[in-house]
Amino acid sequence: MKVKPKKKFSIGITAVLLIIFMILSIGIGSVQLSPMETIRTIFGSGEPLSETIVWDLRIPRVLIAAIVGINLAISGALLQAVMRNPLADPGLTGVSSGAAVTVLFILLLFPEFGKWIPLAAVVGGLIAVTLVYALAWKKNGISPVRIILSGVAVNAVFGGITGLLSILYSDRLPSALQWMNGSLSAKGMGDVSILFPYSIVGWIAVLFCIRSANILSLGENVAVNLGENTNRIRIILSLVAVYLAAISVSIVGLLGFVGLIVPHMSRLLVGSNYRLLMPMSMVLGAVVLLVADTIGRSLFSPLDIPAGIVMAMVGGPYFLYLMRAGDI
Amino acid sequence: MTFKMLKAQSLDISYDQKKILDNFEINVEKGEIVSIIGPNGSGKSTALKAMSRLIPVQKEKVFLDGRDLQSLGTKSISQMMSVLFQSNEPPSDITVEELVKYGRIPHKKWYERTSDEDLSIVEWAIEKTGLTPLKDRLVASLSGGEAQRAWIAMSLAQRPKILMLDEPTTYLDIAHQLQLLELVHTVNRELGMTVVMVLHDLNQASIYSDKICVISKGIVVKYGTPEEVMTQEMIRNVYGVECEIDSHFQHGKPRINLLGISKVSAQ
Repeated sequence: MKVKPKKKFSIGITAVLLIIFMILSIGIGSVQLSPMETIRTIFGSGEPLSETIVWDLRIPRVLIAAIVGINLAISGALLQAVMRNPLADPGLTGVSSGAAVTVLFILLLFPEFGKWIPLAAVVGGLIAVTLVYALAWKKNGISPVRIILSGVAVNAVFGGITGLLSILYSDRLPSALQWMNGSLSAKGMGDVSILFPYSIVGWIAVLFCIRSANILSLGENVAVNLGENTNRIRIILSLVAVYLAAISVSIVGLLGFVGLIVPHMSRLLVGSNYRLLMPMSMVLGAVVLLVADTIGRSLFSPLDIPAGIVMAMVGGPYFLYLMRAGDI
Repeated sequence: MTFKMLKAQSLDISYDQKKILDNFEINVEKGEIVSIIGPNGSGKSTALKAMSRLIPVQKEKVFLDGRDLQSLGTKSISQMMSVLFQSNEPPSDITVEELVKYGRIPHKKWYERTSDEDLSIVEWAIEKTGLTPLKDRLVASLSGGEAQRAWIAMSLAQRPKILMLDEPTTYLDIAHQLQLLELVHTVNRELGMTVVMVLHDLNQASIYSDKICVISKGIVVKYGTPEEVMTQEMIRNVYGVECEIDSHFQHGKPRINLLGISKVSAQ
């Protein structure tokens, strides 16, 4: 398929923006650094104090924001392909809250198994997505409205379990509180070294999903006619989507709307062909979450507003805008 | 030994314990155009879906070129058969050429890119359907007839031996209906592509088909040439409609003139 150079260009521009925002974000905080100072510090010729701040606090946080942004955006884009529904995202379909329950379960009850948290998150996400599918399934397939309704129900149940766990184990809760709100604060290189390798695996898997996502976008009957095993494709794409969302939840907690907003904005910029939509969603996802987190930690400084709260306050109205624009 | 292009035998399909198809049988020879007709809810679309693996069937019920549909992988089927349903919803920003290119997917491994041969087949399919001037237009911006032709072009790019069409003329005005059926006829005669289609209009079925299969309440009532099938009695029994039948002055096919609803209700 011929790819219009203008569309490729917009992906390039967004990637450049991402690098600029990363440098700016590293410079912003209680100790302000100019972009030049930031770059000097990164390359090892800055002041020792700023070097500590940059490497121990700011860079891990910026990297986590970028990686989680990428993961959630991919997850949303894939779920939208699988469910043929622009509303599908890991938050609304219950994947994130499913992952959150199992993570909280381990954090509060079995803290000694901390290293299994990403795996537990994936299991929780899979339980949630299976439930949503099962509830949304009717004789002639999955209807968009039923997906959302099942998502609401599954979210409510998992939200209830989360609430119950927090009351039963309220003494141990403070350690989990920041995590639950989708906060990127107090993240170190240790978190990056967990999240990054897991994510890379998912990103490689995404390369193999692009063609299938495109074929699914033609509709069930057409995909079958073209010789695709649609059930198998759906399961594989869902697995990758759940995996990427769940490992992100396991590090930063509940962070909604990225998977909903980013693929939609990307579609406006590069169209619906996943060969462009996927890379665009990835860079834009990183930009959006990075900006949200930077705003959250600098707007009411020294208060640190979790990025999840910023996303919810921007995402809710955007969701309504989508409805008004008739895209849903 | 030559096999039937498509064969169904003792095919039963039920939904919620209600029989949609009851002992359905059909034999489609290579190079024929076969139309399936019948009242609403008679099971004609279900028959088409079952014969094109969109509804699962049991072993030894449907045979494609002598091979059991059940034992063929969906990919192998897609290299021999193309099936097109009414009312498709393509992505809003896909062009005609991009859509037609998808027709090459069945012949490619997932890692293979579009070859020059693919491109020439795509170009051929677009030209055959008269869409060359529209190839860079968005499918969503086309009229109903043009869009339907774009989907047919995708099916042609698939280079199937047999083309299955579910009510290909629904939603089209009469000029576009005839244009589409002429296209199907041309493809059949020039390329020898076997065609099985579900039609509503009795006269169109009569003019454009080599054989007609009449289904009523999931049962094949009649199967044969238009002359054999189109009788006053059949139309009264199946549709509950009175008619007169004469020969078309040009090609001699039966022409059905509808008169009104029968006094005696359909069986």
